[in-house]
Amino acid sequence: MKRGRSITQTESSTYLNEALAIWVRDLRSEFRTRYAVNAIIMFAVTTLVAVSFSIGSFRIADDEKSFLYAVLLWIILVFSALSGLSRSFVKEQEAGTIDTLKLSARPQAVFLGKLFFNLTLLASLELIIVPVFVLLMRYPIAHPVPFVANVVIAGLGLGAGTTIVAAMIAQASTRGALFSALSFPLLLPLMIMAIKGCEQASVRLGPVGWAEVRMAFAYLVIMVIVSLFLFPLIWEE
Amino acid sequence: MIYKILLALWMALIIVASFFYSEAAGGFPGETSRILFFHVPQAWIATLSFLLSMIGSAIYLKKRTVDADHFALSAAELGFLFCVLATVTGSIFAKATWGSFWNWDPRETSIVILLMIYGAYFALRSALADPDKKRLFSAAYSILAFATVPFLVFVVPRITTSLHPEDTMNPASPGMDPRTLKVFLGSLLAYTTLFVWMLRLKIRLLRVEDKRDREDL
Amino acid sequence: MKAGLGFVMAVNLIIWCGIAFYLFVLDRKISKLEKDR
Repeated sequence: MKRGRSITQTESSTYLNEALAIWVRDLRSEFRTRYAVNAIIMFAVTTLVAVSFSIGSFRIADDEKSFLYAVLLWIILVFSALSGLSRSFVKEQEAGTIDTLKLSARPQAVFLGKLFFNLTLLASLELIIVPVFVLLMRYPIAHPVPFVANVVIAGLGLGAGTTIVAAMIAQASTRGALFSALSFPLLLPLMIMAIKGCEQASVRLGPVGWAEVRMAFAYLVIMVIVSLFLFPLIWEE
Repeated sequence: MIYKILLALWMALIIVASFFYSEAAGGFPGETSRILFFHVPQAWIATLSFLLSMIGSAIYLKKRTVDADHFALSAAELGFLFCVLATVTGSIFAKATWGSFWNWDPRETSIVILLMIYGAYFALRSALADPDKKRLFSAAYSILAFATVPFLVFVVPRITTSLHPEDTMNPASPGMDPRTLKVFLGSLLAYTTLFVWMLRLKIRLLRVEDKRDREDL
Repeated sequence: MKAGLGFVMAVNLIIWCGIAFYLFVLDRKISKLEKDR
């Protein structure tokens, strides 16, 4: 016979606490092994070097740069992300800890925890690659604030769109390729928006890129909500 | 059974009519506008099919009935087929009208993205061995993909007009010429009926295979 | 141009007849399978 409030904290704060606990645990294990970070950064650096090397010596007009560089930047970011973001669930699968995870926290909390982890990876990726790209390619950015906003929000969107997919493919056999194949169509609208936004933000006159930031934010919100709804269904089977 | 024979005759009639009964539309080189009798219904069926597949997935997520999954899978397979047809016919039309096979204009881009979503759906299905998991995950993916569609609707026109400023494919309003309109609507009816027939065949096939698999155990 | 049109139409018709025939055969096969079980 239960009455009144339970001794533990209210529903919602335990929920978030569980998510944070998972996040911290993943951060710690990643810090030790650096598996995902290595994959992502290696890929990013390699592509960046390839791009810089092949394009660097060409004289490209400034007004053409804005579009071309936006495309290249996001290709580097998206594909680097795809090479490492599946790690969050695949490592649980490999270590055999999926069942423990299912018992230790509620599904939405698991999803949020993993999402936070992926977002951390993405934030690190962007923090390193974007400035290097801008400097190396001499990217002319007329409006830095919307540019950064675009990069940040769309980066979050990348995580939002892929975390649940990572959960789906963790148990399949052809994980890496499957993860990319599944994620890419989902990320395409976001990628297009991000490219457009960065392009706008680097052009001197005309619109500045905030519309794209808003749309990227809408994408982020919708994908998180839909994922939160779907994740429990695929997690508890 | 009757409707299938009628369909066969009707489609044959439409094919003949599309070449000799209606006039080729002005504004397009030569007789190329005739392809729209086939291309537009195919594209229409491809998107309709995607919608149906998504609905089937939603029902499966809710009720977990195998029938819902059969429906979703069949609609996806047919949708994919018609999507390929629409892309190919569209490409042929593009070559004849604008001189190049591929231009990334809004409609072309959307149909390719649809193609990729289908491809991902099938890849997911084939990668999962356990049937329950397969049905569940692919249904979930279907919903996820559908969530991105509204963004495509907004985003695709914005980027492609700035990339390639060119005449995007106007759905040449067949309302221009009464004969053309008749043939077009007739073709739409024919393709829809064809789709229904093929869908039912596919679902029946899946059911029979299921029964046989269960009886073999 | 009209001459070529006849050719294209004939090709189309042949393709369609092939498809319709294939579908009828498939339909028959499935019906048999359904009846057997």
